[in-house]
Amino acid sequence: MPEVVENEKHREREYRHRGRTAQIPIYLGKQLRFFINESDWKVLPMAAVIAALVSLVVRGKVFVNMEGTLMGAFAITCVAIWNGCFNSIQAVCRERAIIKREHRSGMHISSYVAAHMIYQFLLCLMQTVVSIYVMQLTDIGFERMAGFMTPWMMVDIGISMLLVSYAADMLSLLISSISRTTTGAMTVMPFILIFQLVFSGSLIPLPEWIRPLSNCTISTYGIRAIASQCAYNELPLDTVWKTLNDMRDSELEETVTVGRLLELTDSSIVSRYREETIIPAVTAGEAAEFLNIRLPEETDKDLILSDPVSLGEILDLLANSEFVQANKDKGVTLKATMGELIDAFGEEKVKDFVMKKTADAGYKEEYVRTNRNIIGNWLMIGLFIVLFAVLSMVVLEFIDKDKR
Amino acid sequence: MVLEKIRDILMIAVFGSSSTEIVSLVLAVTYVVGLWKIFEKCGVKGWWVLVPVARVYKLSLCADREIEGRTLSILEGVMTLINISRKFVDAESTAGDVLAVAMLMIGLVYMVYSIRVYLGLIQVFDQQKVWVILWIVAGGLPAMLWGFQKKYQPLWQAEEIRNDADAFFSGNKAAVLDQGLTVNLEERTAKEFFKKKTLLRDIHMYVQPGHMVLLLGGSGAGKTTFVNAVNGYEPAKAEIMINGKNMYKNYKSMQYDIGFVPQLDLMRGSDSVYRTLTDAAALRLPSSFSKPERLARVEEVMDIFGLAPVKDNLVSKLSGGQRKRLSIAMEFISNPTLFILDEPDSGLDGVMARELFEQLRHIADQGKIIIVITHTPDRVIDLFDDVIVLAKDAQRTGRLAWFGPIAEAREFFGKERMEDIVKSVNREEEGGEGRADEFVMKYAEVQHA
Repeated sequence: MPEVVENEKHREREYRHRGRTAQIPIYLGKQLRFFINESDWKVLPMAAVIAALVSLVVRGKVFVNMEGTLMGAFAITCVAIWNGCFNSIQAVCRERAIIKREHRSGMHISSYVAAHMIYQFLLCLMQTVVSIYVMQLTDIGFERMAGFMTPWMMVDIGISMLLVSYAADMLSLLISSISRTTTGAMTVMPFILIFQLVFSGSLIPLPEWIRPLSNCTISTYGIRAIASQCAYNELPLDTVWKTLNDMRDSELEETVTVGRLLELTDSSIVSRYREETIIPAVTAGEAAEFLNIRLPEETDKDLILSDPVSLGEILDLLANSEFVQANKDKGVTLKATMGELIDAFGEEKVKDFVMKKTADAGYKEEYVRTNRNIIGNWLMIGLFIVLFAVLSMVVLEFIDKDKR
Repeated sequence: MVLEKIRDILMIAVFGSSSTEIVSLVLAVTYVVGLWKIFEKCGVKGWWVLVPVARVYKLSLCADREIEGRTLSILEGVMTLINISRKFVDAESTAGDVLAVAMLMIGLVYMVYSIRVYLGLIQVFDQQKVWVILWIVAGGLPAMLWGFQKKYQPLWQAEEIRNDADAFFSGNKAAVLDQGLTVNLEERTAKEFFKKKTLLRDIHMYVQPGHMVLLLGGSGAGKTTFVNAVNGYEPAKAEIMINGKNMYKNYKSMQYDIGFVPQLDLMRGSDSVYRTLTDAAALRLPSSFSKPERLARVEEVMDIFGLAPVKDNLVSKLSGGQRKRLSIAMEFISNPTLFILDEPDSGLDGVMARELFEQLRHIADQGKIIIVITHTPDRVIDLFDDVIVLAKDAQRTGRLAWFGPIAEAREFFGKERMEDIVKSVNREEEGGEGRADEFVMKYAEVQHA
């Protein structure tokens, strides 16, 4: 009996083939050879060109104000998604028939996908390093702000970029696993890119009913992570003040009737100030000083010549004046430039006011600069990576069902 | 209001539109009536035209475009649902807009597939392609013309009459011996679009070790289905025994005992010849093989197939013949008992093809069983021992019309050349003699005798 068991064991050993883990290096080797011998290496210079183009557009704006930072976060995310998508969109479908043959010869799909995951991660890492280096060279301004998760902003942004790029890569790997041909995969690709960019919900406001869709995009979490790292909420919002300042020479001109002006005196704003003293009480001393005369008696100087006059009294006086009543329908032209109005309140004061109030209005909870928020967004992107990789494996397990 | 909606839904279901405009209504009614008659001409029951979704599928059967018909019927189902939904949704609302866009998108795809089906119908009715414009613009007119006029007749029927061969079973099981390959295949079926289709039926044979067997059959006769059933890749209701062991029951351990070389050279161009073979060895050889043993086997196989001089070349730089040899070498690395090759000579000139088949003969002489599918068998027929002839019967099921030695096959079919044998069992519309059923039954009788 033990001899039979020994024989069975021997037979098992004889027929046992490479397991899943042992197969990974075979396919990883194939991917690396493909990188050298075929065209995969081209994604590196392509990443540099794309990063340079984007960086030249957004440099000087990121880390400076809210709108520039959001634009930068969007642009960096676009670069990462673009890189990731193009890395693997044809990776599986171009060799679908070969995979089918190898699957028939004992290849494990999980080993094949795992090899792809390792290879694509290396590719994304190289692209991220190249992109960040190019952005640094083109003065995007990483040095303007210290990093939050690490001491260096470029490393912080690099981690987010790598994750976004890798998630987009895994999404493309899934599309490539589903598609039967490279043409099919390349047809789907633009829709995926547009969906990721439009539905990120950052630069393009989405209608309320469609907003939940943005939670299904990698770009949403990428932009959130990068905007948070760049301290979006702590930056001013320049646009409104800059627009106002640019309008300095613009004239405001309006002709209103006297009657309309009188109606305005009943408005709630004016009512609030009706009790305010406009003309204070005048003493004899003050009047003498103004007229440069001497009072007969020094003691008369505190004598009150007229009572204080409030805004309400003046307005009432005007409203009841016969002259005003007679000219109620007469038009009065009010004219001032934006510059005059700004100067009337004081430029610095207006600027501080506008920038503070607009920054408060631009504050977004999802861009708050906390470890919890940034890591939360990274984890969400990580979930996408795992989901897409698992789905790729599941889809490829059915490769034998392909029609001949 | 409710009655109006019910009327609209019925109109959409039967005619595809709820339009009450007189022209649309007339066209819709004439289309349905005309199609009824066309269905009858094609051997399909006319009342199917009243069943939404199934109608287009049946039309595609008449047009010999079943695959397009499946898509078309799904699209029509979706379009019908959208049309009905639109009756309950405000056209100005967002949902109304979404439905309208969806309808447009599906409508465009529907039109493309309709054109394909109508082109098929035109081919079946042997008419000019220009008819397709009329079918698309005003389907009711051609439907009435083709349906009611006697001069418009289909070249063949969608559903053929069952004949004797269909019901006939040889019932002869092949013997199982300790050595060699035994195939006892009852049937191989596939479900396609809720319909069971029999791809192969009643195939029994015993192949001796050391035999090189030619697998012949016209297009769609089931050659690839047969080899996939034999190598266990697409199991059939069958018993496949290799050297006395049941292939299906021991698939995991026997998987590597069968080498299957596909028609196309499915290899990565970025790998070198040596790397391709070492990777193939790593996958196909048991892990009990040490690395030196594996590499020794790679060297051995390279020598057998004459690949040693190009071992460092990239696969993409190899010639057609070298590539083919490499593809075979990849499977041969595990030293399989049964070796199946699907058109190994495709793309090779006569001399190279001959050299390749001689190499295969040499492998067979070492006690291996080799089954080869080829479309140009006559130039190398002297190298084969046996021939399997598969033929598509009237039900388009792959049947065994012959298995045995080459010389006897010539006598059985009364043909000298193998290509003529294929021609004799091919359907008439494929340029053949349409004698498949005759030979299937004759072979069964021979087996009984």
